[in-house]
Parts: sequence; C-alpha cells; structure tokens
Amino acid sequence: MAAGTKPGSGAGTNRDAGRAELDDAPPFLTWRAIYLIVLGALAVEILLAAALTLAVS
Amino acid sequence: MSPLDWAVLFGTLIAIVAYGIWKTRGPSSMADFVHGGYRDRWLTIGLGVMATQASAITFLSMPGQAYEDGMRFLQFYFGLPIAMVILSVAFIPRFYRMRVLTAYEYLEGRFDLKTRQLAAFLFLLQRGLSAGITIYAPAIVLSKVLGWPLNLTCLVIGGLVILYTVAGGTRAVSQTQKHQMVVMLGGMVVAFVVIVHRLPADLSFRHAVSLAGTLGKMNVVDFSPDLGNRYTFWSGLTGGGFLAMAYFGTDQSQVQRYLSARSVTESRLGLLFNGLLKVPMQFLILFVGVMVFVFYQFNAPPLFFNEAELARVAKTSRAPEVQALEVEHRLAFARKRVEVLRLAAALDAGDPPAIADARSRVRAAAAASETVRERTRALIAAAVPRPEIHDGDYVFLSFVMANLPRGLIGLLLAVILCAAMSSTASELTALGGCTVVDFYRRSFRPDATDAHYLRVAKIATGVWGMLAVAFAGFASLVDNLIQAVNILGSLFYGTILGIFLAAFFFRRLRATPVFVAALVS
Repeated sequence: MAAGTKPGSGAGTNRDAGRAELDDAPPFLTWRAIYLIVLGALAVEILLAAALTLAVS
Repeated sequence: MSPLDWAVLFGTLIAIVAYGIWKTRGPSSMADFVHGGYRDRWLTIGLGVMATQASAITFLSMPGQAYEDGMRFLQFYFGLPIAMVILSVAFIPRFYRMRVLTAYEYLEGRFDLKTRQLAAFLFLLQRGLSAGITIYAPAIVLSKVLGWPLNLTCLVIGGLVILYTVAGGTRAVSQTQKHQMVVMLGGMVVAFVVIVHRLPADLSFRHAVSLAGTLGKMNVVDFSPDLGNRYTFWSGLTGGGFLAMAYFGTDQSQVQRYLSARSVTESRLGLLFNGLLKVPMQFLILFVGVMVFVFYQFNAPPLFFNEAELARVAKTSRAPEVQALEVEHRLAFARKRVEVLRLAAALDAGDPPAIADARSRVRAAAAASETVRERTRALIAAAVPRPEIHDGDYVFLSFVMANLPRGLIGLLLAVILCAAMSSTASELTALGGCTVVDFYRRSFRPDATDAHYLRVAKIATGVWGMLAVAFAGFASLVDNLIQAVNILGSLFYGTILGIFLAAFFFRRLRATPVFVAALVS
C-alpha cells in the first residue's frame, strides 16, 4: 500500500464495498427495527430493575 | 493456591496468548496492524468492544462496590445503549466515508491538522497514563492477595500483553479478546452459581434477594431528582450516556475495534451487540457482589478484607487494639447472624408483622457490625504510614481465595488477569497506531514505505507498553496518583467529544474557533 499522508488516505485497502453499503441494512431486519430492539431491551431492563427495587426494598 | 489453580490460571493465559500469536502472526501492512485487515465479524467486534471496556477493576471493584453500596451503580450504564445507537447512526458512517485509520484523522478532513493533532495528543496523554493504571490497579490487589512482588505482577501482565500486541497488532487483540471475554463471562457465571449454591440450604434464592433488599443492597433504580446523589436514573441516562458516547465514539482504543470490521454493517452490529449485552453483564457482576454479601450474613467475613493492611497494623504497638476489634467483630457478627436467621424464618413463614420486626432488628445489628469496621478503618489510618482504609476492591478476591473450590480459584484469577490484559492490549495498539498515523507519518516521515511504518508502529506499541509497565511500577510511590490520572482523563473526554460533535453537527464551524475553544476548555 502506498503510504498516504492526507487525511482519509490511511486505510488504503479495498473498502469500497464497505462504503457502498453505508445505508444497507443487514439481511434480516431494517436498521430502524434493530435500533428499536436495543432501546426496547433497555426499557424492559429498566422496568424490571425498578420492579425488583420496589419488590424487595 | 493449589497446583490445580496454578495450572488453570497459567494454562488459560498462555493458551489464549499463544493462540493469538499463532493465529495472527506477521501483519503485512500498516492498515493490517492498526485494523487487522478489516476482517472482523460483528460478534468479534462486539466481544472486543466489551473486553476493551472491562478492565480488571471491573471484576475486582464492582462486586466490592455492590457489597458495600448495593446495585445502584448499574444505573451508570443506562445511557450506554442509547449512545451505541447514536454512534451507529452518526459516527460510524462518517468514519467510513473518510476511510480513516484513527478517529482523529477525520478531524483534519473536517477542520485542519492542528485540530486533529490536538485531539490525538489529548488521547495519547490520557490513554498513555491510564494504560499504566490499567496494569497497576489490579497488580496492587493481586500482589497483596497472592503475596507476589508488585513489580513482578506488573511485569507479568504487561509483558504478556506486549508480546502479542507487538507480534500481531489489532488482529491479535481481536482474536485474544474473543476468548478472554468468554473466560470472563463464563467465570462470573460459574462464580455466581457456586456462591448461590453455598448459601444455607434452607434459604431460598427469593429469600436471599429479599434479605439483600432488607439491608439496602437491591437499590437498583432511583428515580429521585437529587443532584447530590451520584447514581440515579437521570445521572445514568445523561452523564453515563455522554461518557459512553465520548469513550466509544472518540477514544481510539474503542474506535479501532469497530473500524476493524469487514463492513459498516458489521461495525454497527458489533456496537449494538455491546448496547444489548452491557446492562445485563454489569447486572451479573454487581449481583455476584450482592450474593457475596448475603453469603457473609451467614458466614463470618474477615474484619477487614485487605488483610495485608491489617497485618501491617498488627506489627505495630497497636496490635492489642486489632485483637480487641477482632473479638468485637466476631461478637457483632454472631448477634447479627441470630437476627438474620430470625428474618429468614419469618420470610419462610410469610408472617408480615414478624418480617417487619425481624427486618428492623437485622438493620440495627448490621449497623452495630458496621461500627466495628469503621473503627477498624480509623485504627489503620492512625497506625501505619500511607494507609489504605478502603477494602472494597479486596472483597471479591478475598471471598474467592477463601471459599471457592480448587480449580475455580485459578479460573477466577484468570478472569481478572484476562480483563487486565484485554483492556491494556487495546490501549497499546491504539497508542502505537495513533503515534504513527497522526504524528510520525503525518508530520515527520510522510514518504516512507508501508513496511517502514509497520516497523515503527510495532516499536511504538512496544515502547508504550514498556512505559505503561514502568508507570505502573512508579505509581505506588506517589500518593493520589490514580485520582490525578482519572481526573485528568475525565477532563479531556468532554473536550474531545465536543470537537467531534462540532465536526459532525455544526457545518458552518471553521477550524480555528474550534481549536481555540478546545484549548480554552
């Protein structure tokens, strides 16, 4: 790989494929659905933690 | 420790390190060294991100914190999943579009060279110092508990890490972290099962949790808007969220983990995997501490968990006071145990008035027991030079050494050493990569061959490793060094995150105002 001195030239490997899929979602779900799963899991964890605190304190 | 424990401990460590070196020998380019050839899948990324954050202190201090203060520290992680979503949406695509090797490289494209190198310099300063602490903090606990010389412990941790990071770069770090994370999580699950198994046979798990709640250890969520309270739902969501965004979004030790993915999708999924698993993982670690606390309601704990420190006092003229406190401690424990058993019986019978009465008696007995510990701390503070009066970091390891069966002691020590090595390894490769990419190649030798940069990156990583080991050995000589380094580090995070947020979201902002604002802040 030629040594790059300009910003952004560092990687220099074949990442065009990666760039092309910047807006791609994984094959099984949309990104919006995946974000909702992560945030929904957080909401459930907080609710369970609050219920546990109330139940045994 | 038994020969079986030594075999498990060193067998685990050597197998992981040897596998990492063998699997990743000889990176062929600078990009290979810094980002492992962009081959990692989301699971490797996710486990690597988690292993980088989970230092040995996570496994030493957090159970001890839960033992003393309950579960409320969990709230600190509530902002993390939100931060992972923001990073996936806003940070990762921008890093990929610019095809950067380090996060700071992005800042030159958006602003200018001086802003890039300011952020990179702050990272090197902050992470360079904390790499020493990452080695020193577990080394001091391990050396006291195992009776090893402190410098030898630092050398063992640092030496192993330098070996495989210099040899294999980021790919070696990713490969070893995968296995280290499995050992860490597996070890904590096994520890949890063993602790619960060692509770009294007639105490159900539900009653064990109820007992912990009675003594104030199940305070998982606190919605009060009290600004003086460090750990509330609100501080966790806001402070914890911003800290996670700064750490995962701008700290090269984390950024290089997810930029080593084979695609944007794998990077995002790796970070979101971290967002999904982090809260349950921290819950498990804290809950292990709470179960250790319950265990010690039925089995006498040591008067002071840092027994080496108490032994120092016992060698002075104040030894009789230690003996007197030991007697008081045993009596206070015996009285508390009677009340705890009464509460367990009341919980079994399901008799609300008896439960309420037993609860208040247990709380009073626990307060009396705590008074003896307070007086022990005061005695240590008065009796020896440079006293260490907090023993929270020693609770879990002391429990492991005294109560776990043969073989598992070695496994739990491997958990702690794996954690120390995994976070240090990420730090060293990030420091070496950043030194070469953001300074050496950019400003000193812009026209050398890639092989030259690869060689320099390996040397830089090794030098940072040796500096970290030397700093760890030096740390014990300076009072309050850890606090100073932590304060320094937390000051820089706000500045670096501010630069990146300005770069991403304020298109009209030019370089010089941002640079000046960063310097002033």
